[in-house]
Amino acid sequence: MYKYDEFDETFVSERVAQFREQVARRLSGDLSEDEFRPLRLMNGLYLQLHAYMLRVAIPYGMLSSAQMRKLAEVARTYDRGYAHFTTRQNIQFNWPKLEDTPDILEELASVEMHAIQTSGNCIRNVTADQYAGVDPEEIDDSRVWSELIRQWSSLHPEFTFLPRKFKIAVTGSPHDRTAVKFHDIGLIIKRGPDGEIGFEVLVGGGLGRTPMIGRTVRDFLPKQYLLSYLEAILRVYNQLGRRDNKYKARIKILVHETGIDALRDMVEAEWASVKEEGVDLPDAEVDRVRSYFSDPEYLTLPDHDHTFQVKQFEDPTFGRWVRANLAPHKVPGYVIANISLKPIGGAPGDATSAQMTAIADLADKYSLGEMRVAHEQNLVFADVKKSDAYALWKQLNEIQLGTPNLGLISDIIACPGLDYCSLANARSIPVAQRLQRRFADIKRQFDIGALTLNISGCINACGHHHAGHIGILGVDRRGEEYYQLTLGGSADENASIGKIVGPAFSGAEIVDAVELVVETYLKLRNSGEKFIETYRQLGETPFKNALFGEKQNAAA
Amino acid sequence: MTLQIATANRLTDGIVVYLGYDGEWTRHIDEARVAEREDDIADLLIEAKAAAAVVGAYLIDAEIHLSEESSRTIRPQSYRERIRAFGPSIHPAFAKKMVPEHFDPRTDVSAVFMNGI
Repeated sequence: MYKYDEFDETFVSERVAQFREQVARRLSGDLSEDEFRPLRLMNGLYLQLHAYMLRVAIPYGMLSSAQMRKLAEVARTYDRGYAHFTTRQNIQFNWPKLEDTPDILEELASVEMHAIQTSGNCIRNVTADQYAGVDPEEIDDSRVWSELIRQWSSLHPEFTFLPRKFKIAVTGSPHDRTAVKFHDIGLIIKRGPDGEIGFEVLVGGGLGRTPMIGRTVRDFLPKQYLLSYLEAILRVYNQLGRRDNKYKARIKILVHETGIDALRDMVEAEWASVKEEGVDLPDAEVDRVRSYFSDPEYLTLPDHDHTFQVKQFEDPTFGRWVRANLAPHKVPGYVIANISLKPIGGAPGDATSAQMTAIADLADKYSLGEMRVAHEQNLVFADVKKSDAYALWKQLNEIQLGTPNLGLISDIIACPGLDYCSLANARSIPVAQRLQRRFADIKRQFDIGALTLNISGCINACGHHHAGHIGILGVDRRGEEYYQLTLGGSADENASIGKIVGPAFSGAEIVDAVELVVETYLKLRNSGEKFIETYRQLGETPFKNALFGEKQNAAA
Repeated sequence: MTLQIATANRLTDGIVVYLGYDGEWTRHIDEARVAEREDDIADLLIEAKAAAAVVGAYLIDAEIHLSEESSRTIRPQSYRERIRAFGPSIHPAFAKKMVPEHFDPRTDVSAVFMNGI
């Protein structure tokens, strides 16, 4: 894992001291809210519906057990005993006091964490594959490049006031787990004609009110040019992005309005000069950063573990957890273990401080003291011995986090919604909870199979509703919460944008509507076919007919 | 004319507050100063906006409910403001009062998850 050097450390602690001064001046009345707002936002502090909200960056989702323990302590000491993992691999505290925030940031700095660039029109926390470094299919470790991007983009003087926020994701595996095509810039690590490593560079993906899939601006960028190429894209965007209209200010609109070919010409022209400016790093520096992510000392283990096999038969729920939540590891005898933060009836992505402390202890015991946050709002232990998997699962159950539902219908992505968020139009979490209850039967969930169900409380789409196989969008209709259904979205390498089916449902109707969609799929699917495959095969009509009746549907 | 009350978030901790009759900001919506006449509503907004102890003051539509046992209760008209006043609806421990019926936290939402451990 990356360790702060003296520059990182000094910078973060100076920033805390600076913010402490700013908060004092705000509390004394020397700064007005208009003057203070941009300052607090630069430090990740929002004002939400019920309280302030502090968003803390977790660079590419990597956390040490010491950091997790500190986050738990912050939740316990300064908040209400829980926190929320987000769809951008970050963590949010829902109830911090303004007057405590400098102390919280100081606590976080002691474990090399901060909240810088978690808000505002800058380059936000870079996200990466939660299986980075351990996935057997991986081409290269996305964390190395994410860390380099993090260093390059942190307080980049030219890109601190972009037209709008800017999100970058990096994936190093052929199977995308980062929603790479829904980012302002998506970087897909691949091999070039001579086997050398480089990137396919996508630009202009995004969700929000205008969902778009990223377009390839460069099919293969040799790795040594990553930073100069990013700089070139950002320069073009910074100059041409629509600052006149907030809703048209993201780079996706620029790509859409300019056309990818014209934009490519501009980027390449800009790159020709940026390349000469010495932005790119020497190999030695890349190697130095890479050394932080080198393999731990794995034990030489047989790939077959007797207890691991036997326990799956003896304890069928463990067997289900193995099937749903574990993934193959590149080293024999190890597995990747996903910890679902979606217990039936819980708030997706929430963890109590007691759970967080227990997770930190389990990471020390079973996964080399590290873990990752996935954008699906779950946690990952990347290095679990097969021989430890049963013991780990038993202990996860003690803290209610042994749910075997990864990638199944109850593994719902949900934004905080109107229960917390001042932008939301409707609540998300209660809808997620009611859906989880409706589909609580784990056998039924396995029968339904791989299905992503994503819920956003407003058009800003923090809950990635467009990218869910089934998506739910909360809307306000004449002063009541209503829910719009979308079908056919997908966030993986075959990305697609969900289509709205028919008029919105009331809060009372939405759970039945989702169940009807699922039942329709179960009736129509061919053997072994996943929901998204059936949907792509048959289109929306059978689902619309089931929801709205054949006649009304034809008339509409 | 609908009844209006003034609300904001408290500067120090962001907690939802309402402007009371005594000019102080209160956490209890039932203690909010209610304005009905146009002049009073204008005054209420001016006073709320001028306050240094709060952030983002604005007026909301409200209804007064009279019941036999208590003198009166105030209910915001919009569900957003009801969640602000009484929510969040998902953590009964933090909710102050009930929210709209189709999401009644007493029957719909786990009380176990957050309180259990």
